[in-house]
Order: sequence, then structure tokens, then C-alpha cells
Amino acid sequence: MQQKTFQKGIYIISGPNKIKVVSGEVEAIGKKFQEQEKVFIPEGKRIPLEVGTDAIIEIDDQNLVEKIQARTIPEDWDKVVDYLISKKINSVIIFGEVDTGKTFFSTYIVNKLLTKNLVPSVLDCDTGQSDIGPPSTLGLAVFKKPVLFMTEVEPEKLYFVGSHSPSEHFLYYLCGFVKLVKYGMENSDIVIIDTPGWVLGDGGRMLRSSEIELLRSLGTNFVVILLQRKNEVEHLVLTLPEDKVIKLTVSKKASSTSPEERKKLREFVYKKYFFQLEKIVLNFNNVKTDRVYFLTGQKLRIEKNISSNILWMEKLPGFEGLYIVSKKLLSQKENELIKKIYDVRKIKNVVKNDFNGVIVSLLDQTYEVVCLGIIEEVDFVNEKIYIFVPKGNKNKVVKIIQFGSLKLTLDIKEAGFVEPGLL
Amino acid sequence: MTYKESEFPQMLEVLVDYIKKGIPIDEIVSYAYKLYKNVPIYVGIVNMCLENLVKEQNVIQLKKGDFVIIKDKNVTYRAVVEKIDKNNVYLKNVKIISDKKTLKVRIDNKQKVYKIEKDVLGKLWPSLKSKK
Repeated sequence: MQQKTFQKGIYIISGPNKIKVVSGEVEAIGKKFQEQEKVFIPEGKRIPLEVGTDAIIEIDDQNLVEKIQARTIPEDWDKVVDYLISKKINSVIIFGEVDTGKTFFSTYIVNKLLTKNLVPSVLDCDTGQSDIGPPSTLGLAVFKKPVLFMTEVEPEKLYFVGSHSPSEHFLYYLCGFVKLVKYGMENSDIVIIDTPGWVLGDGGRMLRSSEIELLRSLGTNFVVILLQRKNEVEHLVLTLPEDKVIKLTVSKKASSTSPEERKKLREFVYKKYFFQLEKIVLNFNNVKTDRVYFLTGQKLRIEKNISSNILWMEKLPGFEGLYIVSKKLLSQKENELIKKIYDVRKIKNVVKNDFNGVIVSLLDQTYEVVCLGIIEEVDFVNEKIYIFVPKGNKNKVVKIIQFGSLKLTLDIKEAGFVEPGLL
Repeated sequence: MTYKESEFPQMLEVLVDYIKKGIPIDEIVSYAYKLYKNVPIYVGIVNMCLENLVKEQNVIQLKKGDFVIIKDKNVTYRAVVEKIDKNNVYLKNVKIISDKKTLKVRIDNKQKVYKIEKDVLGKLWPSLKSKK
């Protein structure tokens, strides 16, 4: 790292980069730096460094520093904290399109609330660009000290949505929302809810209005903060009284993140979560499955006169028919024969390899997330499920496997999707 | 008004738009299926892709390997561009989809036919069928 004198002013530092404040008055996103404090800025992230007096800073890559003329934080942001305190607000939900700096704003508010001796929590609802907890989850963290990035804190509570997007997962998303808002209310003074940037169209409008309905139902004293460039999200709050809505301008330096950068950021967070893996083995008899058909029916003996292609059979309730796991998809002939032998009209056929790489959430007996895992494979002969989990979770009690719609390779790269309802 | 909780109805609307334009729908449905299998959690993205799947363009803009649909009076051709020279575009794997006013099929013919079940909703789920 090279040492450099930064004159009083505002600087944008882009990642990937490392800085260490050797001396001087330096602040970023409402957090004051201690002398000798080091910070890593991940790829795709940027921070505005406000240097109050000339400061000596060590920096990895000086090419990723830009001096700017004006403060990036709009003046109206500074008044928000006083308003929240004066109105005794205990939950804040932030709406804005993608790339309007919702997470940056949440971080700023958290740091400012801490200076007022309040204990804030943040509910990160952005399952695609998760900062608190891994992607595909809602994460809640309670803050005791200021931070620059939400990724620095460990989630106190996770809820597995199972997908990068609430699309096709609306109900689980909203279940998780309620569960974590309640937890945040019980364990902090104020819950800041950072939502995904889906604010338009049927899905966006429905989700955002449902969140407001739920905050009302939970009896919270909430406000909605709109982060807008013009008036692009005001359609979401037309029914609310004026004192329930705070309209803020987007920081001038809020920058767009390309889909490729988003993918890299997701993989960065996944890699952090699945840093070291260990394998666990769960027996079919000792766990229950959730959000899948697998292991929810009555196990059937495979008749000798049908194909060796078949590995596992269950009788599902009512019209759902048979659940069959095979080495490869059943042929038309196999399908017809099985329907005849077992006297059913419908077969749900899954290929064994469809299970490999699926991200799952492992729950304990109280339905709390123990950790996420990646299925290595399912052994249908010996009735065992092999799952890789983050190190330190091997000996924890797992009672339920909750299945998601995403796949990861074991070197933690995104590997496609599982069609909802397939397994 | 209420919001749609799934983006699948939009897919049907996209497909119907193609039918109205007279574009052979089997090819489009097959693409829709492939797209959906690729991104089953992003149906909105599948729809967006489908809307942009077919583009009208001049013959001069074609390239080797392009899959094209050409309409000529009552006949529609589906084909793949094999080569292009100064004056012509040569197509291979040409399939003709023609319109015929009448056709006689012998009853003793063993050939199988597919029938479209127009009242499938009424038969499978009578309670959901509108009285109109």
C-alpha cells in the first residue's frame, strides 16, 4: 500500500481497493474513522471519503480515487434522523428503483442513529444483491457500532426465500418479511427495511403495497422513504398520509451496476458465506423436507417388473399421483406402464441429478435457519442426502430441509435454476 | 383492478400477438419453452425475450444460418439461410406451411390425428367455466 496525503475535501474511492487511515479527520457514510483503521472496498462498491483536515492515508490503488467538488450526500438526508426521533418512528421502509443507493442510505441512517444512542437494525430484503446474509435470503442485523458496508455485519436472523428475485416466490418473501420485522421490533429501537428495486409493473406494485399493509398490520409506527430521481415511485404511496412519507433525492454519485457486476457481487457474498465447506449426511428418516414434493408422500416399493431406470417412488396425496425419481427421464412407454401398474393418472418425474447443486436452508426444530447448504447428491438406494455446509455447522441439529430454486457449483459459481415445483 | 401474481398470462398474450401476425407458432412456443427452462424464476424476462424474438427485416440483411419465415401469398415458408450470393439468398431445410380450403381424409385411413379440445376447461374444471 502506498502512503498519500489527502487534502481537505471529498474523494470517491472505488473497489476493489484497501485503505488505512494513518492520521487525520476522515468520515465516510456517517462513520468516523479511527486512526490506523483499515477498510476493504469490494469490487463494484464505492465510498465517498470526507476528509475534514489533511489526512495521511495508505491506499492500494491510487488510480481508483477521484476528487470531487461537492458532498455526495444530499442535504435533505441529514434531517431524516431528527424527524424519525421526533415522531418516535420504529420502522422505516425504503423504496427506490435499482441503483438509487438504498443500501448506501440505510448505512448512512444506521451510522447517524448510532450517534444518537439508538440501536438500529436493518432488514435486508434484496435477495439478489444481499449485503446482510447470502443471496436468496432476507437478513436482519442489529447494529452496535458504525459500519461502511452492510456486508461487514453478521446476520442475527435469516429467512430463506430460495431465489434471487421475489418473482415466483412472493409468498415466502412476505412470510420472511413479517417474521424478520417482528424480530427487529423486539430486538432494536428502529428497523430500517432496505427493499429490492422492483417498484414498477404488477409484481413491483403488489409487493411494495403488501409490505406497507404488513407494517400496518404489525402495528408499527412506520414511515416510507422514497429515494427518487424525479417522482418515479410516488405511485406506491398515494394512499398514505403526508406524514408517513419522506421524499428524498438520490445521491448524485449513485452509480449503475451492470448485471455482470451484480453477478460478481452475488458470488463474492456467496463465497464469503461458503468460505470453507464441510459435508454432512442426513438420512431420509431423520429429516423432513419443505417446499418440495420429495419425501412428502408415502414411499412405494419398486415392483420388479418395471424399469431399472427408477430409483425412488412415492404416492402423493389425491390427484398429485406418483412421485418418481429416475436416472434419466422416463420414456413414454415407461410412463404408460407405471400408470397401469400403480393405477394412477399422473406421474411427477424428477431426474436424480436435478437435486445436485441445489441451495437449501437447513432448519432446526424451531424452524430457525441453522445455515444454508449446497446439495452434493441424493443417494436414493441408501436413503441419504449429502450436503455441503459452511464450516462450523457439522454438528448442529437439522430437522428440516427447505429447498430453493437456485444452484451453485462447489467452487461457488452460479449454476442456473431449479424450476419452482420441479422437485 | 388487481395485480397479476404471475407473469405467465403475459406469455400467452405475446404468443397470441405472433399468431395474429401469422407467424408459425410452434417455433415460437418451442423457444418460449427453452427460455423458460433456462430462467424458470424470471418469467418476466422470458416474456421480454419472446417479444423480441422475431424481427421484420429486409432480405439484404440476412446472414448465413439465420432462421427465417417468409410469407408469399397463401404459402408460408420456414427455412434456414444456407448461402448468399450477389443476387439471391439460398435457403435449406425449407418447410412449407400452406393454407388449403378443403381436405378429404378417408375413414379407413390408419393415420392418427390430433384434435384440439376447445372445451378443455369445462371438461376438467366445470366450476370455473363461465356461464356466458
